[in-house]
Amino acid sequence: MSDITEKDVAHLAHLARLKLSEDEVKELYHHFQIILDYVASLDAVPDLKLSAEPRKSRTHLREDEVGESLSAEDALANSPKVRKNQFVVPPIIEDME
Amino acid sequence: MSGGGRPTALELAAEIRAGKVTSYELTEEALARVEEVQRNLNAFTDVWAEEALLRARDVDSAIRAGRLNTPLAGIPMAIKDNICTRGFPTTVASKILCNYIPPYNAFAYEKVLSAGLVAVGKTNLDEFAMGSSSETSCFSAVRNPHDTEYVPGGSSGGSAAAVAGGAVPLALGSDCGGSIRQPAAFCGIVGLKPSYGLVSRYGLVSFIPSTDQIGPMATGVADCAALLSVIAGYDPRDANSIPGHREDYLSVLDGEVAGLKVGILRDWLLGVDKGVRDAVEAAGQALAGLGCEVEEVKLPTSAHAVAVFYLLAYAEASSNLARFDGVNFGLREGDGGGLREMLEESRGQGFGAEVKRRIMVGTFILSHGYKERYYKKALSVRERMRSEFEGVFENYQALLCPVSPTPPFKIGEKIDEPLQMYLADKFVCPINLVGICGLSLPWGETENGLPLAVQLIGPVQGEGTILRLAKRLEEVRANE
Repeated sequence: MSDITEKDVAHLAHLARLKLSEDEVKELYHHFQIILDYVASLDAVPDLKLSAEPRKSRTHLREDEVGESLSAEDALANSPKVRKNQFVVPPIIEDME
Repeated sequence: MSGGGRPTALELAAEIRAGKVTSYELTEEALARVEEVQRNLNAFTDVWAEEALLRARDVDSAIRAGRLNTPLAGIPMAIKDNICTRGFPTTVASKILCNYIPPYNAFAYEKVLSAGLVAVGKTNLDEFAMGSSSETSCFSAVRNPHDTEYVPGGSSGGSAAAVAGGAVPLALGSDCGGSIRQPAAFCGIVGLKPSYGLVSRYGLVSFIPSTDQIGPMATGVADCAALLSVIAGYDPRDANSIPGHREDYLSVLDGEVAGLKVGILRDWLLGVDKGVRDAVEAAGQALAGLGCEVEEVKLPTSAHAVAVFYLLAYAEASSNLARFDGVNFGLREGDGGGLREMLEESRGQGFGAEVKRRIMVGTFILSHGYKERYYKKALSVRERMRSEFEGVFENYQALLCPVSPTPPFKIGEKIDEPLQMYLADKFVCPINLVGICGLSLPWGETENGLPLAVQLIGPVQGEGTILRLAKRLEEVRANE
């Protein structure tokens, strides 16, 4: 059984910036139990010994060169609030703890 | 001809080139069927009636002028609504992106445009492609064309239903943990999940970037191969795109299959539905009849695939979906308060239950004190699985197994039981975890007339081999 509490779930919602109702927190708490119990089966799988040679990366980096990109107009077109070519957000300072 | 006696996309395209029919006429017919399919199955999130006809007219002129001679030019098709289409809404079936109009095209969509295909609209899906039943869409559930009380599978359920329902012969889907193959199986069509990096992820709304792939869905194997040839290719805008040339998947279809070694994952058949089990055994016998060496193989760590897959899905989703914050695009709520309130309200109201669940569990398993136990453990087991698959592919060219442990289930049957829904992916998600390719091939039906299917799996860039095997098996079925 996982040691997570309903209070932890509410805290996670805060970390994830998700406003949840009390019912949603209760339901998620229930699902956390089921999911974490299920994935605990992985504890039985021994860890792989890391080989001396790391796996060749499949990610390739490009040269840091200026290329084509979206125009400011396109980049702003989907924003819910724009002023003078800038994204507008609510006040941040009041929000700091 | 494909199953059901309809001409294939390749046959129709040949008729267009021969001047027997026009893309405009086919698109008009498709749009009429789209309307019917939409009414019965809710397969589309948006239909582009006017634009599609204008485009079909342009494609017809290009073909007549000899400027367009590609194998699928003029064919109407559908695009899953998590693939960005410039100037047309791309909603991911989520309230949070319901007004989003991308300023650019996905690589795969650019490719179908330049190959002369005609998109008639965007198809419905599970919200953010998170689901196995296409029930979590903010546009409500998609229905299975074989029986509307059943799910079409997911998350590419709209694409599968659109093709199986006869609206269009081809569609693009995406598959991060089975989302092309399982709906293809549930709807009785062919769907292929390409090797990771074969098709660029550029412009695919990201859910699990380490497994996401766009792929083709079609009524038959040859059409599926033709569409794969259109969309496969190197793209520097996807850092995981496989460099180099791609095969012409259509031209390799007729090669020899005798002598190929195919491993059958018989221990995966324990506890699965009898119809599914019988289909896999029958396909194994058919492969043996074609001269393949069919032998039993084992991949023991795959028993943990669902746990590994969902841990990574949660983690990657929680990190990826942080970008939906009501600032750059998407829904904004709670604007009257401070920044935090705006973020929490926008995300709280914009995301549906399954998306929230994944963000929440992901936030937990990436948090201090739990990351080693859950996230790193999942990565370690994933590497073990990868080693096992690589070992098997040293001796075998393909594997045979089920797609889904059960035939299609009813709408509402699993939606409140997330773990039961996740377990529907047990035979499809291992393929995404290790980056290889898989194909779902229709194989008979249940007593109630619902489709059954088998899965062929190939190594990285083994698409040519599994398509060739699927083509032979399709011929065996057609002659039965």
